[in-house]
Amino acid sequence: MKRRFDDYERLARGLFGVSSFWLGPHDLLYVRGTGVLLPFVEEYLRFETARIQSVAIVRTRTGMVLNLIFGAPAVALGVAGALALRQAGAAVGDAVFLFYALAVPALGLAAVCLVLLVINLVLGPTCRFQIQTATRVARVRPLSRLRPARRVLAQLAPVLTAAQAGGPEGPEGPEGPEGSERLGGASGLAVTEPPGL
Amino acid sequence: MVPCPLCSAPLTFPVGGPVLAVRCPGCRREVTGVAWLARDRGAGRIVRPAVVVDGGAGCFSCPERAATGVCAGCGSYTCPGCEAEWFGEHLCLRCLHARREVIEAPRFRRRTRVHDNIALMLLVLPLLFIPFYGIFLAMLASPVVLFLVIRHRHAPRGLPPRGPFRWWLAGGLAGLLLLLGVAGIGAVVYSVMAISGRATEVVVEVPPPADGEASGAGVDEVAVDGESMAGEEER
Repeated sequence: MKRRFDDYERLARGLFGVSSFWLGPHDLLYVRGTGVLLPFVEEYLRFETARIQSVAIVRTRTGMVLNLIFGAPAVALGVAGALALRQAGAAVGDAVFLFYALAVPALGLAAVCLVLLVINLVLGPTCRFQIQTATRVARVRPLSRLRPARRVLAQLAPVLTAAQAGGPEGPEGPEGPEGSERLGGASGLAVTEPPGL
Repeated sequence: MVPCPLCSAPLTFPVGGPVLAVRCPGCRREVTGVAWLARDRGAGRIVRPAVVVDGGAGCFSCPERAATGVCAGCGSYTCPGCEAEWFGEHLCLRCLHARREVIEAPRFRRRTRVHDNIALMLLVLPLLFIPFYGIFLAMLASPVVLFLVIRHRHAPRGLPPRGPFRWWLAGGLAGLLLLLGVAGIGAVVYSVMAISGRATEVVVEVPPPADGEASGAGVDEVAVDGESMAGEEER
């Protein structure tokens, strides 16, 4: 999958590239793919940068659960395989074949679990990345790991602040100028809270 | 108010930044985020259309309402209830529908069915998940895959651009499997014919009886075989 197309820059991509998240000149584009291994249908969710109300991240326990799911069998099968291998060395006759027949599959499965565990540990803790607009609250699935999610949030925050402080669209509606003034005060990173929040 | 991504409990963030971490009162997790004042820009506001007055322009769709805008697509007058804003462009609902569903302009497209992925997975999934028999299923699916690949050769492959690699892979694999299937069927038919032909030859090779010593059943066989041999000799 390309890193950029037209004016869009890729921020994140999901497993096998089924879903992806892009930053455009005026919007964030979430390509939500549904399918098996490859996307059969792609849906496009666009979030206009001037209309985004909030972005939030929360750490989840999915990564820890995955560590347990991969780690426990890796340890158990590894120990069982090692014990069987050790017994095979001391056994005589047909028992040697039996112990090897137990040890080899156990160690193979343990190795697979270990690889998955290492991959999960390298990817880091999991999280939920959420974007809120006036009409929807959407979860961005490609950003399911905490480190890339924080990096993207740090990248997005100044872009969204600039867009809302009088970007290309500018304020609209009867509440526009007032909102713009209020936002202008707030965009200087002052910790002020609007009445609605 | 920002809902917690896990439990939807209301959270408060400073408007416009900086990025802060607060503890959710519902799930007790640390939520990192930032909020803006986008809610004051008119998104989600309900505007009641005004009634048209004498001499004023009415909305194209609902003439009793006063027009407040002009569609950027077709130029018709619109009231606030009959128009939608799409990245700064005001469109009537007919134009918006046409651009999203009929024309599928890139900035308006809502969804894409990715035919080359579907075609490729029709072949690959049986091979991956059904041991041994998967190849027969893939062979059965190969004509469908070839149809999909040829029928949708010009269809868009999604909004983020991709090369034609999967299209070629699906087409090539389907063609190969189809050839394998045809060759397999041909081999089976040839084998059946060869076996049946060999069976005939076995019957032909039965030696003729000597001086009518054979039993009644043997006589019949001999007679048949004798005829066939005689026929062959004549030919």
